[in-house]
Amino acid sequence: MDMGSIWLTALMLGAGIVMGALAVAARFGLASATGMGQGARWNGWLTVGIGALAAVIGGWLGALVFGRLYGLPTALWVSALCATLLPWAIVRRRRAA
Amino acid sequence: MWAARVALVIIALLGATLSLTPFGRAATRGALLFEPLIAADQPTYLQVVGEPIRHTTTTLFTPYDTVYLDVYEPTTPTPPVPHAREGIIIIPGVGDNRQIGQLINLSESLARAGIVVVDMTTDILINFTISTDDSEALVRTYQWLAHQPNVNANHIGFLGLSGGGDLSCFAAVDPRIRDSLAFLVLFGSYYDATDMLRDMGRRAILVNGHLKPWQPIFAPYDIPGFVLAHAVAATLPPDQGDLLLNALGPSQQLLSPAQLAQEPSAFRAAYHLLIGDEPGQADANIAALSPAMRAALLQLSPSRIAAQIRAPIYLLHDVNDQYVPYTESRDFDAALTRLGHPHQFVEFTIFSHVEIRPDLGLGPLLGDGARLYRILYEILLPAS
Repeated sequence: MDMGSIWLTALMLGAGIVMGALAVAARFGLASATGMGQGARWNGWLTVGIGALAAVIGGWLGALVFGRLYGLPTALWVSALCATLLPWAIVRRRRAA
Repeated sequence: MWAARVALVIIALLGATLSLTPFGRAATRGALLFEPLIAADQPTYLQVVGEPIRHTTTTLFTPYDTVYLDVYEPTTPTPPVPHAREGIIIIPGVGDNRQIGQLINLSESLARAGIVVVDMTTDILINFTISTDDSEALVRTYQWLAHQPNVNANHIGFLGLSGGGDLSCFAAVDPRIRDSLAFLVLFGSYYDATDMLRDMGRRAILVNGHLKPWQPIFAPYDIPGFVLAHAVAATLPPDQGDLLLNALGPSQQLLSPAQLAQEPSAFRAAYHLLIGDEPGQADANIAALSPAMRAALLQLSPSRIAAQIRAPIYLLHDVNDQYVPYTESRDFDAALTRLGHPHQFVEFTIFSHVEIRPDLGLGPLLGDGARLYRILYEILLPAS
């Protein structure tokens, strides 16, 4: 992996962390389902993690499909979607169970 | 909470628009190419988010000339969307400009944005000569690029700088590529060689019906004059042609009045027009040119074939251009408007002929930058 790719991955990771943090602040994340306390904190970090992971995977998929220039914009919307929809789906599943 | 939600939605929508829609992708490319164009160097972020690239050289041959190609292209596989890459053939004017930093920067930046870029020159161009024979070199270059496996033949355009723009006009009407050429960008090019010679002769340009002083570049020597001298010299016996070229070329061996008096009247008229020492006699000197000289100038004028061009044309010109008067592009714009040909014309103040000026403030950069971005966006849109 060349230096440019490492930096691009770092940028995607950063974007994903920001989107995850925004999802937590917007109460879209897992933390919103568990109220306050230690559990909520861990769930908040999990949401940020989901955002970061989704950004890297989605970003590189975007780079593959549209070209490398579009990796970062793809990382933004994929991580935003994942950081909001995945926790929502997890919470729904937990409640159904 | 609501602020975070709004921010999340806006960023997600922006990211989706910039990556999923053709206009968003063109806007992204344009934005990332903008700084390299106006700052004359390649920013680090483009090297990070852009494609890794390679530079190769190749040579083609035409019956008239040897064609030198510098190819800048992404090394990554062509992405499934939009399936094939756009190609831009840059003709960087007369002389050998292949090692000029701004040209290399432009070519590398475009390649990092996913475009296959070919910088093209020929022995004739390197010898400061514009010849319609060289349009064959452009056609061959177009065909060579169109046959590259990763390039869409319908998304190849010419970016002609200075005299390279005129050459690309001649190639654009060739039946082999006329209907498939995607666009023509002419930056700092002339429209009518006779009009330009008249402007050089009177050291003034006609702006909105008023003559305005205009001085062609003279250091290191009068390059535009030298190029026109080549066109005129081709119609003269070799000894007279050499006299003209030596007067305008790097050696700048001007003729004495006694030497000049021995030459024919058509030679004297051309000489005075090129040297600019009889500004009040410019029209009379144009009239005194020989029929062969006038035919040679017409032959080298895009005005002759403007109506036959089918590709959309983007005319760019700096109003302080000392190589080619910007009124040439105004004339071209007026002609294309009359013809109803799709085109755009943009005047700048941030360039010195076709190179970005180093001493720019924020104001001109913002004003001209917006106009430059609009052109960039339109060129990039079809292949995004």
